[in-house]
Amino acid sequence: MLERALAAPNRWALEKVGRDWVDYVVSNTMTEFNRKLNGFVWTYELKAQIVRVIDEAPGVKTYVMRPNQHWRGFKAGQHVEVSLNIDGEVVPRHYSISPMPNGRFSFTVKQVEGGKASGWMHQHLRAGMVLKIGHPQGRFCHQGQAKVLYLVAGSGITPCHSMVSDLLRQDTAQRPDLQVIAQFSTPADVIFGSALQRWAQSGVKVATAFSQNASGAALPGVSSTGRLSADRLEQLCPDIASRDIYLCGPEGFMNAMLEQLSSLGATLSRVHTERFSFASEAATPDANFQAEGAEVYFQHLDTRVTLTAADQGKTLLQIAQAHGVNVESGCCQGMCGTCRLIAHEGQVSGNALGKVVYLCTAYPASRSLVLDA
Amino acid sequence: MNNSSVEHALTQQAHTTALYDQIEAEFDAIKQRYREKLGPKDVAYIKGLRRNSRIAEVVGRGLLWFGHDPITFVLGVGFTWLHRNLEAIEIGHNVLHGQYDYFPEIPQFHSHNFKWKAPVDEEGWRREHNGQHHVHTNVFEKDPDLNHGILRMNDQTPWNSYHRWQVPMYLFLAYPIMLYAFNGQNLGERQAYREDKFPEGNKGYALVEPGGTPKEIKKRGNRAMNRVLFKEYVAMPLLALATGYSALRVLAGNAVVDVLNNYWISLTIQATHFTEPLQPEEALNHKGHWYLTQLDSSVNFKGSRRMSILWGHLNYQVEHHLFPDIPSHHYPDMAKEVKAVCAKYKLPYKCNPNWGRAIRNYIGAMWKYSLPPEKRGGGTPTLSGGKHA
Repeated sequence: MLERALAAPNRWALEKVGRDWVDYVVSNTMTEFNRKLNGFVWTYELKAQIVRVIDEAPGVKTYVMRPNQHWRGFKAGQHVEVSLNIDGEVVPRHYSISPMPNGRFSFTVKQVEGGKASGWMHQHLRAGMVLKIGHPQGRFCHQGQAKVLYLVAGSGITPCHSMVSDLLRQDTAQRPDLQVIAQFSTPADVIFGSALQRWAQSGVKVATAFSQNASGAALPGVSSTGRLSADRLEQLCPDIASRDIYLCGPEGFMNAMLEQLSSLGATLSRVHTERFSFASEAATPDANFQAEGAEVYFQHLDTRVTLTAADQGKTLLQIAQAHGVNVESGCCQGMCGTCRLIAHEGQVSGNALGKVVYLCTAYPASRSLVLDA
Repeated sequence: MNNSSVEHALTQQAHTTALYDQIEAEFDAIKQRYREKLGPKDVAYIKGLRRNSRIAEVVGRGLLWFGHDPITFVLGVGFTWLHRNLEAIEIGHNVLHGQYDYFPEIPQFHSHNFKWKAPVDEEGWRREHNGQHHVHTNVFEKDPDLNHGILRMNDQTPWNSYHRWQVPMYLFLAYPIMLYAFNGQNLGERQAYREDKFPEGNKGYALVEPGGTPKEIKKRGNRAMNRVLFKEYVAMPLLALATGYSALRVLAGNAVVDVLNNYWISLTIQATHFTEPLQPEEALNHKGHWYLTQLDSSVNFKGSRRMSILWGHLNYQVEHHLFPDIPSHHYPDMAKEVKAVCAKYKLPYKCNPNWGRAIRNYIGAMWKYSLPPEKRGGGTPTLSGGKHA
């Protein structure tokens, strides 16, 4: 009741007066009373209130969020950790976010069959509720390249949506040459359909592909085709070898695309990836691998670790921590990408994509492994 | 206290790495013992202080607001002063050292969350005070608190005619508004002034690095200042006026409190630092050596445990400089152990018998260095001298 009554003054303060002034006043009047009265702004924590819930497609919802004064903005393509309180248990999830007017942002959640968090969110999250969030993180952001292809599938479109929306705000002359290829199961599963149409109208080359069933109404002004293959990719994007490619989507899609792209002669160092759903099945150690005596070299820290029998079955992150190697880490579930390193030599099993290794969910699989930032 | 023994003990004793190792082990052991003691008692202590400070504030401001006679005015000033004193030093200064960062249950007392009820920008303070003064204590041109403002406290610093006035200038102009002047030092205004006005610029003075663009720094300084000016001299008098009481009485009361508070804090912090002997910068290369320089640069003065709270435990400046991130209320106990270590290694443990003596010694040093060396007789610049004789 009180929370609802305070939503209007909070909105006025945060969006009209500004986060900077709110921070000045609030931080200097942080009494126990104020913290109990209006914990959304009188707090040391970054929180965001749900402003609106939008139904994008069956099983897909977008949540528009108003963050409190601790928010410092973000770069298009970054993601935030959202802490959900599900039956007394804190469940963290990462979502790519898109910019909205008035300093708001939004993220889109696709309901996953049997998914603990997505189902709960669709069922319980309502406008007015407050969630604890983390500061934006991730390096999956446009890095100024002139020719870019966004190759995405399913809800992997969300970081692409964020980046393209942001880039389209620039003058046409300065804007990079953008192309978007988005694959969905069926036309009914399209996310951000209206955005795709808008982009096509503003001169971005947009194509949709449907992996299962292409019957149904296609988006006006947007070309559509069947499941993506090397041939289709070449057809849709003849200059694919000269583009920087931002690849995002489910595990299977990303592995398949990496294969197709190498067969088309795309330079893999120009493929930028963001893992969207983490590899739960693949993330198991190689049973035949004998850890004892194997060596892992963290090149960026110039630290060499010799594994012992105790390291058998441990992830690379656990190994690093056990040996006192101070690597960066985040969610420990293969999602946030904070711990990612590049394998220069040797093999890993579990969560790795191309040469990128997710330390927290990957295991060593060769006698010698060289990792670098 | 005998000054020559100080100098002898620390400058002429064979300073071997072996001694440094022993000193490091001794003081680290004390620190470790108190780190292990950190717990609910410390949380209760800081929360209790805040509660008492609030009570004093309500009583003091209430008496100033609703009272009519001189007695309630004096009592109102007293209680409001108590509130502002506790907030400024025993709470503010110690919290900004990160003494309570260990306890997740009190985010309001974490050094990066805390907002001072003093006109001082917290970030500038943490950088200057924690990051420079406490690291390079008494290191020439490295410790910004050694010579600050227009102050000259040793003969290495070139003399100019500004220094002639430093005693009256500080006692009558600077100390009554000392906290309002901190930003000038921490945010770089003072060094710009010296660069402009002093014949040899900032020679002899340490430079600060406040962080941020000039515009951001200015904004931080203004905000820190305005929050206090607004509360004390706009909001409180207006509240009295709006409810039919005297705005002037509240304004005057708050001004008296401000001056008392500034004077009290100035005399506490100035009188507990020895500005000589200067310390070598390379002391940082060995923690044991660094401990010795801290021991050598600070001086305690005696006082009861209760009074120590009002001095922010800075009368235990020696312990504070050795262990700046241990909650201050442990200092009286730690002092016994520090003293024992000093006795064991025949190191001087500097302590004035009372606050008055400490102040007199400090003003003596200020007077001495306000004169050019050739006018003082003797003529040769010297590191030891009569200031704490």
